Amino acid sequence: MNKSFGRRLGRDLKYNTALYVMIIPVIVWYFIFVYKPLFGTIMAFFDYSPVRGYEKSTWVGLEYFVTYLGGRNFPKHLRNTLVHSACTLFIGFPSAVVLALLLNEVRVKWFKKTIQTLTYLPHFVSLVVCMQLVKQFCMTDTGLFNDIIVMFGGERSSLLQNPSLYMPIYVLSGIWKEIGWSTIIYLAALSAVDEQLYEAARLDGAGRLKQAIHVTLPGIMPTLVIRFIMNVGTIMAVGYEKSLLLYNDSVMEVADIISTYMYRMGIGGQIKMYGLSAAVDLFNALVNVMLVILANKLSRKLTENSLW
Amino acid sequence: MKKLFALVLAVIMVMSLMAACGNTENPGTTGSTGTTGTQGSQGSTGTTGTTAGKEFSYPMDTDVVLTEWRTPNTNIHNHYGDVGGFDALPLAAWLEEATGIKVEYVDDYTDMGIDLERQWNSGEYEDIINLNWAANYVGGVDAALEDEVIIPLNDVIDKWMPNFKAWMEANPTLAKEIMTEDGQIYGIPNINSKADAFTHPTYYRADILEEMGEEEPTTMEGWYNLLKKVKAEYPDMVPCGIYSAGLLQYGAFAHAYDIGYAAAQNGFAVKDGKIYWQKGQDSAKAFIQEMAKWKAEGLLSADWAIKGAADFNKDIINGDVFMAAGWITGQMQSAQVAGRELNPDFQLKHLNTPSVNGEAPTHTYANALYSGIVASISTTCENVEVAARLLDYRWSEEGFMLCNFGKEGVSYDMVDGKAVFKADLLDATHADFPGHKESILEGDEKPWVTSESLARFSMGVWPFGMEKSSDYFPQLMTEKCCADYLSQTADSVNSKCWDNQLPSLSYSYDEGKIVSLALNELNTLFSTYATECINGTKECNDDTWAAFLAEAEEAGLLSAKMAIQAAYDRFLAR
Repeated sequence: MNKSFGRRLGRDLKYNTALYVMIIPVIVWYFIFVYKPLFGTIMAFFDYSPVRGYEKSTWVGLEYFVTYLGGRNFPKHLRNTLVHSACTLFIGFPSAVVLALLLNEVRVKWFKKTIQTLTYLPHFVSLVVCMQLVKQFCMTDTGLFNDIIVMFGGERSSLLQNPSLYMPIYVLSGIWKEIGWSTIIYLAALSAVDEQLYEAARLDGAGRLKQAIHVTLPGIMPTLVIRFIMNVGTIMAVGYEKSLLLYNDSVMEVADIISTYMYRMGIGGQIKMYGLSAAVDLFNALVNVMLVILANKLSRKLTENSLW
Repeated sequence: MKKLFALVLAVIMVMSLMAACGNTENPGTTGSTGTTGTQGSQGSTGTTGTTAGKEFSYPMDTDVVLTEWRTPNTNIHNHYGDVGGFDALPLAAWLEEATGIKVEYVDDYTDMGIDLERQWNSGEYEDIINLNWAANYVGGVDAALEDEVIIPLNDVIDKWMPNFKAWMEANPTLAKEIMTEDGQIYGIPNINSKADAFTHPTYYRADILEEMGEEEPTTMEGWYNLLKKVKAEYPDMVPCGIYSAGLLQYGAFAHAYDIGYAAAQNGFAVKDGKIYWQKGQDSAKAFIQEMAKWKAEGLLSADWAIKGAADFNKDIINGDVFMAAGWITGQMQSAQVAGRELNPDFQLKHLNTPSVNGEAPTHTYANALYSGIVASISTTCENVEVAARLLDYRWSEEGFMLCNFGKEGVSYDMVDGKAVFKADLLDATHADFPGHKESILEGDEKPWVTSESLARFSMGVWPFGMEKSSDYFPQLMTEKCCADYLSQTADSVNSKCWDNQLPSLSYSYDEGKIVSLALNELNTLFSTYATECINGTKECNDDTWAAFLAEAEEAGLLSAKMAIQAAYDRFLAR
């Protein structure tokens, strides 16, 4: 029976009115906070001044894109941004999965709950406080990490001023802060895996590891793929807050990213370069969209799972 | 029923979204005063006697109510954020009484950037706006005039501002700094009577120096030898605990090598009519090499690039460092007070800028006379004459004393020809001050700092367009070591700090963009290079220095120099 879309929609509205009414606030939220602000991206094409507004600000076209993309800093910023994202994605992402798998195997309930609580807690602490803790731990004379290094026979050094240690500190502090929270969705997916599959695997002689590889992982694969695609979509959107809190002049070569430059130009500087900042941000967003589309296509081809 | 419930729930959720819409935060900058260098006269600032001619006198007979906007002073926000702002202060009442003009002071905003945007977007500007236009308006003051936000004051000054006109005639060089290229006067400046010490001293433990039987060195070599001795005799104490900005920009050692912040307009200065970039000089290279030597020998803290001024301040209080740098009240004064509580012998003293190779330092700790903030009259002010008279009052003798010190006998007394605040005003609790209980501060339990206390009676604390007395600020200090430091003027220190300073320049819109973009890049470039070399990650030698200079040129150094040179040449030609 081929019913028209309109008739099917009407029928659905009639039987599920409550659901449609409940989604109205979500649509309104998206319109106000996501779609309406999109209009502001045209700032990237103007030498924008709040007093002059769009009508009187000078149209510059692609000037800011050319200025930034052709500038001396862009290769460094792009490299650093990709390194930050790749490390966070390829180290942070599996860490949460591994922790979820491990927690799933724990049978002692109080121990499981304690670990979950301890790993969730940093998520609720402000980023500023967390990073200040990290900085204190990294201090040369009084830092906890240096005390541990000395205990094992090493020498004190300023960890955050060492360019080769900056990325490990950045990634590990991010994992420490967010790993617990990230496991929630995987634990939820794990709880949905059919117990009978585990029983069947045990009957076939599979140990814990083989069960994890052949039952658990395939069972949560759709969730993993979707989460991975969503994370890939933010690969260029490394936020400036954490970098601003952690970096210093001695590690700028590896720590300065697109968003910190955008902050300095658009907000942190004395003269706010709105247009330049908007151009950099728009470039970031366009690249992210392309990456999400690409990741989605690849995922559909390789695993038959995709976001759309 | 289920549908009705869902509908009600949806409406409530949408309304809660609308409520959240009104609550935004803007991480915009606050209170930048864009310190600029000045040239020339430090002499009379021309408070030229009492107001007006025969046809005009204060107080004015008027019902006009003006609005006056100014940037915040975050140092005194602790109380003034709660108390209702400048309007509620005794000084505001005295000013109204003296001038006859009622003013509503607009200062109850939470974020300066947002409130400025409110004015720009709405087109309804406050009558008088106290602002550093170069730092806070895209395109600077030329754009503000072109956009018809503010009015040029040339005719206004001629007609209604005789006191300020007299000041301009007595200070022609300074007067040029408040004019655009085509001679339009854009505002009444916030200016110091005399050049006084930059409020970011480098300081050390004078009691330890005395214990060692040493005297304060006057050369860089002397300081190097002393710090080595400190390290040898006090192994648990880090000799030099100066944070990154304090070492590379604000501190005594940066000034010794002519790369200090206070000396130049954003890192550029002038010599024999030619603009140069301080941080590209050979002296900058020598500075980096010297600091690298100090770091390698353990004289400079290992965490100098990570810790802030507040962290090192704690260290100096606890006896973990011998020397630190920071802001005069926030760091030095508070360190002195806290340190003495732990150790009665604890005594800090400021460094004078040492010399390099026996020569007098080119620059030293001197604030610019002109802060960059002006009081401008907006195009939407309906009573320009009244606004002009209000501003002009501050430049009369009577207005100068009232604005800086309040009422004689109430907030200050004249002692040997100088205005001295009453002692109970300087007491941070000032519970016994007459009128305290009747004031808006009744029941307030938060401890007041001295500047907050004085802010009730002195406009000098607030960034208004006016002349600030140099006798005012040292009195804010409760500690002698800080008052001694601030009592210095550029005259009293052996330096030629004015020779190479740039005046406040007026850039065209395009020039402003070039300079602004380049400055951001150049400052980051220098900080990165200097930090890497000082930490030993990179060696500061001829090759790396040449590469650094090449990178600076690629970052826009040449175009910035050309823009600044052009603006400077036009300034001279005015």
